[in-house]
Amino acid sequence: MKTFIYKTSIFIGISIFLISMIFIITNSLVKKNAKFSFKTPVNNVIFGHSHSECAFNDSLINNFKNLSESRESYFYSFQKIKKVLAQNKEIKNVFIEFSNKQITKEMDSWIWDDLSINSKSLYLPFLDKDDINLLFNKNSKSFITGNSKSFRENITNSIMCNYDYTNKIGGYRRLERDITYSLIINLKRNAIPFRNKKNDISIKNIEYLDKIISYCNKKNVNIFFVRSPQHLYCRNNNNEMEFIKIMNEKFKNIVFLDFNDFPLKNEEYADYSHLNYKGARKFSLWFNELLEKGLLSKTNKRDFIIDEIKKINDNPQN
Amino acid sequence: MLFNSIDFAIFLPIVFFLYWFVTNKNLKLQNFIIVVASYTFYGWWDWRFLSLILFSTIIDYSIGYKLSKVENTSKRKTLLWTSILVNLGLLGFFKYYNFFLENFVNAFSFFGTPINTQGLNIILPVGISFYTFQTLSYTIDVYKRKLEPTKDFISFAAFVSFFPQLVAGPIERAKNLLPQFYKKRIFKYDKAVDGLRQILWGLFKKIVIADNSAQIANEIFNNSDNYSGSTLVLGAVFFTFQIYCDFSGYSDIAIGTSRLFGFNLKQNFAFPYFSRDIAEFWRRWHISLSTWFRDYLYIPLRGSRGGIWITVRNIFAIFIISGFWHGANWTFIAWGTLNALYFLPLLLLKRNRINIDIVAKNKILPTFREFCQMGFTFSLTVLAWIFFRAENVSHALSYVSTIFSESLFSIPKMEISRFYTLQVLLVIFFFIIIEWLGREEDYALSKIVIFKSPFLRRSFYFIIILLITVFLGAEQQFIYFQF
Repeated sequence: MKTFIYKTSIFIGISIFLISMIFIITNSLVKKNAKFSFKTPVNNVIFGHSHSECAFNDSLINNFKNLSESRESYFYSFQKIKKVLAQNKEIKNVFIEFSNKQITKEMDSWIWDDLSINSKSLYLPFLDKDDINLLFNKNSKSFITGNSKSFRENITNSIMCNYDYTNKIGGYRRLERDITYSLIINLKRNAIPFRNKKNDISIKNIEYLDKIISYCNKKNVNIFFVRSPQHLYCRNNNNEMEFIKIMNEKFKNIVFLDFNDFPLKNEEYADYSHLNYKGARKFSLWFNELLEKGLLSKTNKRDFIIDEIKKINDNPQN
Repeated sequence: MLFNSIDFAIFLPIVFFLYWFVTNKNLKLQNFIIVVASYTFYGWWDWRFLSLILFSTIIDYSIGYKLSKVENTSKRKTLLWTSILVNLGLLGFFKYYNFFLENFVNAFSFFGTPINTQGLNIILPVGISFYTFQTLSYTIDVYKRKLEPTKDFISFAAFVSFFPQLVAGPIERAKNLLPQFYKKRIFKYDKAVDGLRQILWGLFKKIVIADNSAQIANEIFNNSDNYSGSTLVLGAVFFTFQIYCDFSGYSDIAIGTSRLFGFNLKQNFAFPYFSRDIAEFWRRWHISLSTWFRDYLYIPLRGSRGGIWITVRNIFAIFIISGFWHGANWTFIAWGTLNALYFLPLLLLKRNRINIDIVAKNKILPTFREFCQMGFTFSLTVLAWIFFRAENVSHALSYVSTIFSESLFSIPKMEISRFYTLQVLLVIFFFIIIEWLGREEDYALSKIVIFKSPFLRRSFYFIIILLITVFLGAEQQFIYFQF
């Protein structure tokens, strides 16, 4: 019995030690060599979740890169922004998707729920101590399994000397579907109630938005909040009052570029909150025009946007 | 409690310590510890259902005890039928009540007499099909005077609830397991090391192969309408490995854990995917259930000794009931029927016992003929698993019809990274090699002792642990828990 316990303990101990060593070494290699620099330098980048991911077709917008990714909370955007800004000095303007959904409680769970940790395991090697503590305290099981996935990716990347992350950190997503009309019919038929309550406001997600702002300020990069177009029936709009309140109380110094009222037809939406490729094309071409007309240098950007939207409404053929 | 959970990693050493260091001098106390540990293990999932196990234990212990006192045949028969009705009644209520109700309602509606009734919101107690069959085997064997009834309630309770095999087998016979509770267990170094090795291999099968194959199989089965025939074939193949590694992985962990406590459980899987025909496959797949049905259903129904029609009836009966045992869904019945259709020609042509030994025994590679036979049997099995995995029979039929369409010859595409799919395929390839090398043993990894150098052997174990660490996905329940 003694021999069994002794030998088993030694074997387990050595295995844990070796695995920890491999983990630390591959993690360090990835941290040291990870490449986030773009092949073609750009001045403008946007971060956010699926709303901006599907709205900004960056192949139609000059000097612009879409780095949004589905199910991305500000926690993961923060990790990404730190790396991208550090390796792309030419970036002057950072656009952050700030829409009604971003302030909901659900966004906090997008930091630590099983799916989020596992789908964003790519960023785990780059977390600092506070971020690690947050994930471990909120969901230790998924933090372990997420690290396991990250460990596998790190070993593969280290063996293949592939440290290029530029194609793995988001980009424009082309949606083909067009189910908005059927959703509206369904909504009317079933009278689906709005989900969000007034008090369901995110805490951690907004805390990380603050961190993003501080980091961008430290790096002397301009930061803009963007709300990409949402369908009139978009359920999240029921928290508009809270949204405006947070905007005015916490982020009054940040320029808010609101494209919520950009006119799009049902068939240009994939669903209530996402544009399909037709909508993205229309919106991106128009947004590119705004940038070329000097949107970012205007003193009153909001009025400029409202005027430009009005022009489209007045001349829908254009 | 799941074997692949942190809870179990803490639970097992505690029970091991109490068992070998605190209660080792007293057999009754050691058995009592097993009962307490087993009830804790089960209660971790839902303590309310412990009452069912306790009830089943008391009923079968009492009936077994009574059977030893009663000589009158009709009274003995009454006692036996009481046990059968109580056990199958519980199983029927919890597992099949809603299924029968729904089908009766549908049948009446079909004949123009609609009935308005609602099913019950019943939770299926984990492992009920396994421990019910285990206790039934005890009563039937005692009735047939093949086994002396036990007077030791604690030993009997430990036999019914023995935690390593409580929720997903192997379904142990009282004749094999119960006497082991009467004898003092002595710790043997080699046996314990072998147990640990089998646990390691079981964890590898479950965590690396089954859980990762599941990610791909689930994506394809859940969105089968969007995929081509070639992708659906891939999905069915991944599920084929998932179901085998999930279930045989559980059995390996159960057998290995039992060995740590000085018990020997029967082998439950004997490399079924290396079978050369379906008859051989069924001798190698879920052996404890197949032999249970053979001994308690097929043989009492006169097996293959009652003429051709009796044989055909019995074959269909055993396969359909075996399918239905897996779950209250027509898909399982279809799966059982399909296997009966595969098996029947072999039996009628008396070719069901031509492949008894493991393929290519004492050889490194199979012959070309054996290779083709294995490939053909594997393909039949993959086709049958589609019915097992599908949501309903029409889903299975549409899945199969898409496979046999022009799109079968297209390049498989799916919403899962190709690189990840390739990684999973690579570990499956590694797994097949180890299984092939170890096919003459009780489980594949025991063959690894051929590495004479302890350093090489331990390095190999380390690679397995490393693979488990890097493929540790989200903790997933074992598929057979639902049965």
